[in-house]
Amino acid sequence: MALDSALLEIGLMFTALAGGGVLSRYLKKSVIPFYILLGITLGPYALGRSSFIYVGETEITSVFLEVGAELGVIFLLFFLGLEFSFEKLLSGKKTILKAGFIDLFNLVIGFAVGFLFFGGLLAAALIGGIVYISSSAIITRSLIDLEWIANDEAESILGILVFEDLFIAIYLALITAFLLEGTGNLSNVVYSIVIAVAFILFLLASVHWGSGFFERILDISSNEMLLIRATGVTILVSGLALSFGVSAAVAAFFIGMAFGDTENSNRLEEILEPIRDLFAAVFFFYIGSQTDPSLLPAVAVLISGATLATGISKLFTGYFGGKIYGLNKRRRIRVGLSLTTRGEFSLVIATIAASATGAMANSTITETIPAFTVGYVLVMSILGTLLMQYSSKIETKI
Amino acid sequence: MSVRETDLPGVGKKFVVDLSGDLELVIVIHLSGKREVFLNDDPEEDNKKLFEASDEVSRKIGSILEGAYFEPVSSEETEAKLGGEVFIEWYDIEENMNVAGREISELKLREETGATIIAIQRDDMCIGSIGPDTEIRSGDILVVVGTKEAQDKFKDALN
Repeated sequence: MALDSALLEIGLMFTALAGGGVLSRYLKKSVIPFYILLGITLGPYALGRSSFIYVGETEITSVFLEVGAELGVIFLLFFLGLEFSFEKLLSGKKTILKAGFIDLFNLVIGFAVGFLFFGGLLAAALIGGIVYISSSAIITRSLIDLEWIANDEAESILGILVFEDLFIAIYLALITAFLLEGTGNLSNVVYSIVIAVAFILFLLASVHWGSGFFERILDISSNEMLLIRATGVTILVSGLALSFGVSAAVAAFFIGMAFGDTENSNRLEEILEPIRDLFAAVFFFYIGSQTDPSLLPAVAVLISGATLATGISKLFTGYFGGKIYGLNKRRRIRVGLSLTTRGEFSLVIATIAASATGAMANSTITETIPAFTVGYVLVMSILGTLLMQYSSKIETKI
Repeated sequence: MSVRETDLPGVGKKFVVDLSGDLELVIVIHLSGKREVFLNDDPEEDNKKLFEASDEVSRKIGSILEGAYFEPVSSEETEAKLGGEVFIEWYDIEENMNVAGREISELKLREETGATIIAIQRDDMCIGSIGPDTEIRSGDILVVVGTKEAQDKFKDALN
């Protein structure tokens, strides 16, 4: 056992992440790009090429990072589910649905860009999803920091994000079925999709009819027990899903939804938030550490093209989404500017692509697309927060 | 006065309170319990943040606004509206009222008026479990729930 060096590496990682946090606060930027950059720098592809110690050098550290990152994904999606409700989606004159459908145009643009560049349908579908989904974490944080949260545009932005959340849960379920399926035979792919859909229907049914059960599990005054019970159920069901070839993240989403309907959901959110933040940080670090910076020049053209095309398309879909909400021109521009920010969920899709084991997995899927996503998210997370910060100047110019 | 409530998914809830004219008070309650209070005097402009406060401080501010520590208006004139046409009203019991010194069961207030006494405030105490043998004393404040009509009847029945 190389426990001593594993602890050193993990300690180095968290200390560096803390330093990244300080820097991000000082520069008034989202912390996510800093976590990713630290992952790249301290991981095997940068620091690892020197003779110095690097994070992931010891076998157990890299296993810890991989599991920790997966837990980060599970908790991120669990929280989406916790805050999601069908009532919110279907209330309010269906504005969310209409604005959400307009937003789907970004998926089409991403698909087109991906197909032009890679020429394959699976790669195109992955790029479509990666550029479609905006970053709930960064956008919500910025809305609060910029004091927009009480404004009318905040409701529209958060509404569109709710639609994206549900869409991405379904998308992940389908894309995982493709990526994990072993043979590449169409009938087998259909079979694994049927399994995924059946598993989701099963989870939805448990959400619907099992509310009494979920209520009872969480009905405990001890915070410690509440934390352990919720964590246990979530990870167990996610693991079960993955063993069936169904996305663990999607299972976590539906478990979150079930817990979200219980009386203890706010308390649960408060207790689990630090756990999510901890493992999400590991996730961002991990995905950075898996990125070989020498792959980035090869995807630089794709990153620039995608930034331009999907930056503009999000501006437009956000603008027209805001129009459906009855916002004035200035606020519509803000909706567009905010939604250009991409982040955690693009990276979730990239990790699933990177871990693809099926017959359709090739180096495009497992290496090039994840490298593209890391570069794209670095650009879009910083660009998005910048656009929001300077929105008043942009609003007056347009 | 109108209060609009909207969900802010992932953040918490937003309450918009109409003040006079174009003035609106916007209160954002975060899931963490933190409150942010904004003022909006022009719908075209951004809401101006007035202050933010922790859960604990907000509750304190709330009870000060509610009049828990100093209430210049007599309790007779206060009324709180519940859903529909149901109100909560407060009645001061004076010595010369015919209910003073009698038990609830002999007064048959609920049967005759339709309004229900839900609590009695007596000195520093609040009596919450009102039974048939609870005695109404002079100096009590009765907290009564009922429709406008029932409240009117109740007020007459007190004297």
